[in-house]
Amino acid sequence: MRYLYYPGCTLKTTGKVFDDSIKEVAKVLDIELKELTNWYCCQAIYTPLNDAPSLILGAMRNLIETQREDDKLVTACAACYNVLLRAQNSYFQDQLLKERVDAYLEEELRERIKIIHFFELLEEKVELLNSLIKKRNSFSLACYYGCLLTRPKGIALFSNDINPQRLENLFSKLGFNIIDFGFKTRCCGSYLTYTKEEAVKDCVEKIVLSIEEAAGNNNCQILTTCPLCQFNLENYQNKYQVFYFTQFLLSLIKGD
Amino acid sequence: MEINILEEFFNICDEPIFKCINCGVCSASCPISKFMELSPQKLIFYLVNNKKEVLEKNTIWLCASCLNCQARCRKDIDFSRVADALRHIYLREIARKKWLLELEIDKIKREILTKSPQQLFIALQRKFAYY
Repeated sequence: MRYLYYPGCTLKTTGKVFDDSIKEVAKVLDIELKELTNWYCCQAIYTPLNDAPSLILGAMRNLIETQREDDKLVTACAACYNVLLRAQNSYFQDQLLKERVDAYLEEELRERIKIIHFFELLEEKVELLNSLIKKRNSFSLACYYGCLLTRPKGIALFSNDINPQRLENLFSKLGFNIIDFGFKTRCCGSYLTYTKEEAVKDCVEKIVLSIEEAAGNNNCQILTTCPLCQFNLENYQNKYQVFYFTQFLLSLIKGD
Repeated sequence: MEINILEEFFNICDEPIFKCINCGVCSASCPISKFMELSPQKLIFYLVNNKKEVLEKNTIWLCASCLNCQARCRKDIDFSRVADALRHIYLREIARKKWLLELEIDKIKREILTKSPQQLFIALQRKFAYY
């Protein structure tokens, strides 16, 4: 299958490992990812205010660019996914907002673009994945979701925002032992890294504590879906190794 | 400067804050609330009572929009939108001339600045900048 792919700024720079692993995993699974032409910043966060349509212009530009080629868009960065989804939602729900955005961009988004997270493509190919894995390691996995893919309720990728199970299901089908811990959707502290480091340290500490309690004596690794969580979890604790889920899959497929 | 905070708030945000029953589920579920001068629940209480002190509290700058409270709220109030709106009121009305308000880039640790995801930095600027 061929899909349009929206990497976003982080995956092109500090999250390069994520981007590379996505591309390689896609390649072995026979998924062709074509980068969206002229992609543009998604504007990083979704801020809904009644008087400022400029707050979703970035996301809408990308979706309009998408509609020239396809009706689906694959993305993997949790923040981009969240912003694109919510911007599109408010664009179609709020007639006034739609008119103002259209007037500014001089082109309208005719139909909803189906925004797909790369994880959904993996889920469809779980059997193929299983047959490709060369070597399994003995680690148990703690899947940490964060906030961007689990909320707001109703439109987020993972519909259960307290105890999502889709990553767990995927990896238990691949034969891994799963650590089910309590704080898997708790905030990692996000950009407070810059302004209030102790808050992030506190958040990460609690997440790790929750994993520790659930893991007991098991050797454990943390899987993340989001570059922001990855950075905060990696930076503020050294008890567990943290990987992007695709990075982890790639290491299994390569067998190293 | 005299501003009617409630009026300003409803100009840019239609979050139904008057439905709030002050149950405190938002404060209890907020991972950052212990660092806040006013917990989310108290902030809404102040705002409903038209107290413009809400703009002076660090709460509005600390909400990271993780939406944990929104998912728990029995009255479907999205606190992150309330915080966003108040942030904008502050930036528009009070700090018009300062571009990046509480953020001093020099003070951010170099290793964090170079290693952190771009998304984080852009998100920070979007939250703290006036536009």
